[in-house]
Amino acid sequence: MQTGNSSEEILRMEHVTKYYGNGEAAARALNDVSLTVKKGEFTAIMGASGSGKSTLLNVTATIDRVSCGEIYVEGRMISKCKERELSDFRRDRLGFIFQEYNLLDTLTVAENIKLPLNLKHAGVEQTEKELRRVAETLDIKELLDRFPGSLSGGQRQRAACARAIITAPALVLADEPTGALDSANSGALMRTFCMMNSRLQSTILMVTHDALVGSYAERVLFLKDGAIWNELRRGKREQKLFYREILTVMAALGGDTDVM
Amino acid sequence: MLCKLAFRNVKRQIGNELIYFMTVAITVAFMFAIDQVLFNRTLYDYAVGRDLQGGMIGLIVLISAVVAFMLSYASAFMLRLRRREFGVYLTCGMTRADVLRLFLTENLLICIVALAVGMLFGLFLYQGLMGMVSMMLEAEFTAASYSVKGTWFTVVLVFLVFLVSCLLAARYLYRVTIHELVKGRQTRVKSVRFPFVWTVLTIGGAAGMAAAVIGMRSWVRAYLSGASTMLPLLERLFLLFGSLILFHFSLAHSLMALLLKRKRLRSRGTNTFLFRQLSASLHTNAAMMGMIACLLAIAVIGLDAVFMERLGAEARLAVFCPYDLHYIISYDQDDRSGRPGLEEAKEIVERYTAIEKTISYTFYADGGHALYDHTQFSGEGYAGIQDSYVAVSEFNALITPLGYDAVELSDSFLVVADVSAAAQFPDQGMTITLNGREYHMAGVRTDYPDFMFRYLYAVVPDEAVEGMAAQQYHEVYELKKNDFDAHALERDLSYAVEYGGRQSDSSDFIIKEYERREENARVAFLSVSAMFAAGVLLCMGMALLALKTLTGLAEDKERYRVLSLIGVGMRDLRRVLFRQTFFFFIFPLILPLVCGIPAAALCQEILRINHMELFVHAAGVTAFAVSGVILLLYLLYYSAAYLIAKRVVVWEQ
Ligand SMILES: Nc1ncnc2c1ncn2[C@@H]1O[C@H](COP(=O)(O)OP(=O)(O)O)[C@@H](O)[C@H]1O
Ligand SMILES: [Mg+2]
Repeated sequence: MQTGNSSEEILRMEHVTKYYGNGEAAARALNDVSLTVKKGEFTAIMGASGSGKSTLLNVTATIDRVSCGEIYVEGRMISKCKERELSDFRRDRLGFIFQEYNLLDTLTVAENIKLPLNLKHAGVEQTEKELRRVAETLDIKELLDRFPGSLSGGQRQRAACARAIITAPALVLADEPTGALDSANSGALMRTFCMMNSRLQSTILMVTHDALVGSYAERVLFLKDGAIWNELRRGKREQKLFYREILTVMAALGGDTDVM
Repeated sequence: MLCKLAFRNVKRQIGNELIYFMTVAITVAFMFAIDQVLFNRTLYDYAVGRDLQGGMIGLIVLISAVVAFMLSYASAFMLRLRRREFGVYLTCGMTRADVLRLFLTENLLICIVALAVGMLFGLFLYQGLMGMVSMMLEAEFTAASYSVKGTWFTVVLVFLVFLVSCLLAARYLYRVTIHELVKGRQTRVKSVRFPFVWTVLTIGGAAGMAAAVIGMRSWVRAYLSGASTMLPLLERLFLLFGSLILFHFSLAHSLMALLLKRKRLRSRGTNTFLFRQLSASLHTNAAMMGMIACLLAIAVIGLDAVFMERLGAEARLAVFCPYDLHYIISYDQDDRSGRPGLEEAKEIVERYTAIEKTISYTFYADGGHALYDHTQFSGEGYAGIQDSYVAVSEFNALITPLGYDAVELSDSFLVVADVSAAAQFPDQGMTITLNGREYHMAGVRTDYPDFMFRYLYAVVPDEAVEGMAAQQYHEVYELKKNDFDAHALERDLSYAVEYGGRQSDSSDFIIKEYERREENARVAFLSVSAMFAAGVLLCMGMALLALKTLTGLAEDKERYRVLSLIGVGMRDLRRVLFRQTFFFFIFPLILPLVCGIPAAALCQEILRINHMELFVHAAGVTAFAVSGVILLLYLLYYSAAYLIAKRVVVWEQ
C-alpha cells in the first residue's frame, strides 16, 4: 500500500484519555489507552457495553476529540489537526463501516460506492474501473443499480464494505458491523472482512461485543472501564479454538457481557 | 406535570415548532391587519358609498378561509411529524387521552403566544396598510383607531380553527394503531421512471405557457379593436395556469433525472448526493410544487395587473379629462328644459376656485354619415348616427395648450377617431363635400385626448362648417387650484332628471379632480386587496415549503452525518445543505417571477396601443418592483428556514 515505509505501523495511540462532560460530572470513557496497529492487521476490540469501544473507534475516526494523549495514523498526529484537515484525512485515508445507516438511502448502491472517489475528484473512467473492481471482489455486481432500501441487511453491509475500501484506505474502521445482522449474514460478512484483509491487505479495526465475530480477527483487544485489560492473538490456531479462548477471557472480564 | 412536559417538548423541538410558530404568527398578523382594516367604520362607510362592501365581505371570507386552511394544515402536519414520538409515549403506557392532552396543551401554548406575537406584528401591518389606503384614497382616516370587533373576529376565528384541528387530531389519535405511529409511512426511494415521458411533458407544459402568452397578446389586440369578448382571456389564463402546473409537476420528475444522466457533472464532489436528494424531495412533492407555482403566479400576475390598472387609470384620466373642468351640452340628445344655465353653474364653480382660462368649441353636423360608413358603427342599428365636424381654429386653440402641434389644413380634413373606429378606416383617398366644396382626407389621428366622447369627428377648415347646425357645445376650463372639495362641487353641479320614469342625478360637467378621486378610490381598493391576497398566497406557499423541508430534516440529518463521516468537511456540508434547500425553495418561484415579464409586456402593449407612451416605462418598473419585492420576502423566509435547517443538520453533527 502507501507510505508508512519508515515503519509498518498504521495506527499508534499513546496514553489516550477521554472525558465526557466536564467538572464533577465528567465521565471517563477512555483511561490511558496505548496501542499500535500494524499494516495489514485485522484487529477486534471487545468489551462489555459501556466499556468505551465506540469511543475508542470514534477518536480514531477523528469524529470525536481526545482529552489528552496522542493518536498517530501513518505517522501523522491526527489528535491535533484542524477540522478541515481532518475531513480530508477521513476522506483520503479512512474507510467506515457502521451498524446502521451506512449507506445513503437516496443514492443507488453504485453511487454510494463511488461517492468517496467523487469527493476526491477522481476521473470518471478511473472511478468506474475501481467500482467494477470492488464490486467484483465483494460480489455485488447485481446490486449496483438498486437502492439500499430494497436490499437485505447482509447485502447492505457488503455494499458498505465496498464503499469503505474503494479508496484503498490506510485503515478501515468498523463499529459493530454485524449488529443488525442474523448469525448467517454475520458469518458471511466476517468472511468478507477476512478476504478484504488477506486479498486486499486492508488494515481493519473492528469493534464488536460478539465473541464469534471477534474470533475472525487475528488479534483481539479487551477493554474494561475504558482501559485495555487483555490482548489475545490467534496465531496459527483454529478459529473454533480462538472463539473458546475469547469466551473464557470474556467470562473473566465479567460485567454484563452477553455471551452467546 | 403535563404542562411541564409540554413546555419541555416545545423547547426541545424548537426547530420544527419555530416554523410552525412562524406560520401561525404570520397568518394571524395578516388576518388581524385585514380584519382591522375591513372592520374600520370610516372605511366601511366609504366602501358602502361605492358599492364596494360586497368586495370587502368577500375579502373577509376569502382571507378567513385561507387562514383556516393554513392553520389546520400546519397543525395536522405537526401531528404527522411527531407520529413516532407519540407512538413511543403510547408504548410506554401513556393513554391516548394523555397523548392528545399533551399535543393540545403544546399547541395551545404555541397558538396563544403566536396569537399575541401575530397581533402585535399585525398592529404595525395594519398601520402600514391604513397609511397606504389613506394615501391612495386621499382621505384622512383615523389610522390610530382599532376596531374591537375586528380584534374579536381574529381571536375567535383562530380559536375556532384551533378547535377544529383539535377535533381532527383527536379523531386521528383515537383511530391510529400504535404500530402505524411507530413505524410511520416508510418512504422507499426509487428512481424516476420514464424520465423521457416526463421530459416530453415538461416541454409540453412550456409550450402550453408560451401558447397562452402568445394567445393573450393576440387577444389584447382583438379586444382593443372591439373584435373579442372576455371569454378567450379566461380560456388563455386557464391554459397558462394549467400548463404552469403541468410544467412544474413534470419538471420535478425529469430535471434531476436528466442531471443524473450527465456523467461528468454528477461525478463531481457531492453532486450525485445533491441531485438524488432533490430528486427524492421534488418527486414526492411534485404536485405541491405545481400548486405553489400556480399560487405564486396568480399573486405575481394579479399584482402586476392591479398596478397596471392603477397606471392605466392615471393614463385614462389624461385622455378623458385633459382639462380641469369640462362643460358639455349635446343639442341632438338632451332635453334642455328646466336645467341650470351655464352662467349659474359657473358661479357655483367660482365659489370653490377661480376659473383661470376658458376655451370653447362647437361640433357641427350636416346630417351625413360618410365618415361613419367606414367604421363598424354603420348600417343597421346605427341609422341615426351623424358625422361631426369641428373648425380647425377652435381645435387648434384646444390642443396647443396641451403640447400638441397645431393642425394645418388646405382643402383637406383630418379624421380624429378612437382606436375601435379607426381600425377599418382607409388611410387616404377619401373625399367629402361640405358647403359645396370638396375636401380630401389628410389622415386619421387616434392619439388626441377625448374632446367629444363619440367615436369620431373631422377637423375641417373654418369655412366648411359655416351655416351648419350645432351638434354639441363644449367649454373647457383651467382652474386656479385643484384641492377643493371635488365631491361637494359635483353635488352642487348635479341636478335631478327623470329618466325612463326614474329620478337620477345628472350633470353637464366633468370635474377632473372628482374623476381622479373616484378612480383612485376604486383602484386603491383593488390594489390593497390584491396586495393582501398576494401576501397571503405568498406566505402560504412559503410556509408549505418550509414545513416540507423540515419534515425531511430528521432523515437529512442522518444522511449528512454519513457524508461528514466519509470526509465531507463542514463548509462543504453547509454548501450542499444550502443548495439542496435553496433549490427546493426557489423551484416553484422562478417561473411565476418570470411571468411578470410577459404580464408587463402585455400591459405595455395595451398602453402603447392606447397612446399612453408616457406610462410604458412606469409599467416596466412596476412589474420589476413587484417581482423584486416578492423575491425579497421569499429570500427572507428562506433564510429563516435555512438557519433552522443548518442548526439541526450541520451544527449538531
Ligand atoms: N456523547 C457522550 N456523552 C457523555 N457520555 C458518553 C457519550 N458517549 C459515550 N459516553 C459514555 O462513555 C462510556 C463509553 O461509551 P461507549 O464508548 O459508547 O461504549 P461501548 O461502545 O463500549 O458500549 C459510557 O459510559 C457512556 O455512557
Ligand atoms: Mg458502542
